[in-house]
Amino acid sequence: MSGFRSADSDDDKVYSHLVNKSVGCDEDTAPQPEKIFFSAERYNKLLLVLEETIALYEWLMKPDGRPKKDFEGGCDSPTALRLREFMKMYKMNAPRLVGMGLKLYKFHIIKKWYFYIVLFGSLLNFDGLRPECGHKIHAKMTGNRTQKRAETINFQTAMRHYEKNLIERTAMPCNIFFKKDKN
Amino acid sequence: MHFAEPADLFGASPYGICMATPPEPLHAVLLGIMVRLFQFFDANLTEKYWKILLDEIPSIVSSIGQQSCVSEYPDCQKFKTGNLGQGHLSGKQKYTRIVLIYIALSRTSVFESFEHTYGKTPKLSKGKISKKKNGEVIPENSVKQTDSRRIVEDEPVPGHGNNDSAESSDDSVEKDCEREANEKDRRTWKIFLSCPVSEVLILMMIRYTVIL
Repeated sequence: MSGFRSADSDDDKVYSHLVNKSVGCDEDTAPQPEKIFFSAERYNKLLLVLEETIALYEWLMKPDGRPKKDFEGGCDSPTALRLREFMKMYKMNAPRLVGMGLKLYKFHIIKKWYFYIVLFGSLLNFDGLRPECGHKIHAKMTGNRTQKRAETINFQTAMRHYEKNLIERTAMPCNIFFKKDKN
Repeated sequence: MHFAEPADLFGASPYGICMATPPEPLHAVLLGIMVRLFQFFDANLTEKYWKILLDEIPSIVSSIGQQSCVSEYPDCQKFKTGNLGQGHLSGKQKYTRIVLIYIALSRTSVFESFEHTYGKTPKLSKGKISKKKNGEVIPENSVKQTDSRRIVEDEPVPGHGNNDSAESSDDSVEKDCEREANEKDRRTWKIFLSCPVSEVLILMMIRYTVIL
């Protein structure tokens, strides 16, 4: 299963641990877990991190308009303050101890979301989900049907893409419809 | 901040290229924070805890699938076997993974098994001296757990390891402050709650009713 994953994926460590477990290892030979105790307070803090992260995403992707008074005051607006509080809470309860920690652009940008919402409106206006989804069909699927050699992969991918487009364009006027996958 | 001159030349952004290209929510949130959060849980839960957690996933997925009248719930069919660590997940599926972990942790049975799998929660052993490093006496609580598989405790408060009653009262005051801060957080949560009907509200209700 691990052979299908890309080498540069961020989740390799995560996946390797869980995939080995899902394949099934003997309980006797498996390393015994250490004793970790969850207090109710600690448990609730972990739940709070999950809850606020999910709620933040839902709020960011909200299609409707937002009240103007939430954004009045710039970096001192209620929205900016709340985003900063979320960042502090996340850092306290779910710290990252490997690599650069949470000194990431992805994390730093949380406190700037209010500014981009003022500039461009809802995040759905500049969401890259659908264009990225198109890469699956046009780049990844065609790239998988090559010999996957560094010297020829560009040329072969372009050829597969050209052939795919050619067949689709000729099939359209003939009313031949392709069965498309849901994914 | 540097402004281009003239500001609206050919429709250019007056704030420069950085402001003209906003961060993308797909890579910043779905493939950013959500993945880092899952990595945190993976690094800090042992296999037994993961087993407890993953055993709950299939039943949760089936129960979400039965709520077909609500189209806003995330599509969880990818995780119907309970395997959260599979590869080739899209951004939405990584978000769904976090939602499933949240629902699983919100179950009372999971909470009880987490707390009582290896016994009850330990009492704080204040003042217990565990190590002597470079001539300094280090209380046990202040030793940072370097193992990646363990939950890292909060940073020690100065003077936390002593048995003085005044310091224990300080601890209680700090706990009260934290509690007040948490309540304040919840009060200021109104902004996020202004979003339309979503699963978040329902999940929060589940948490408050079941856990607390």
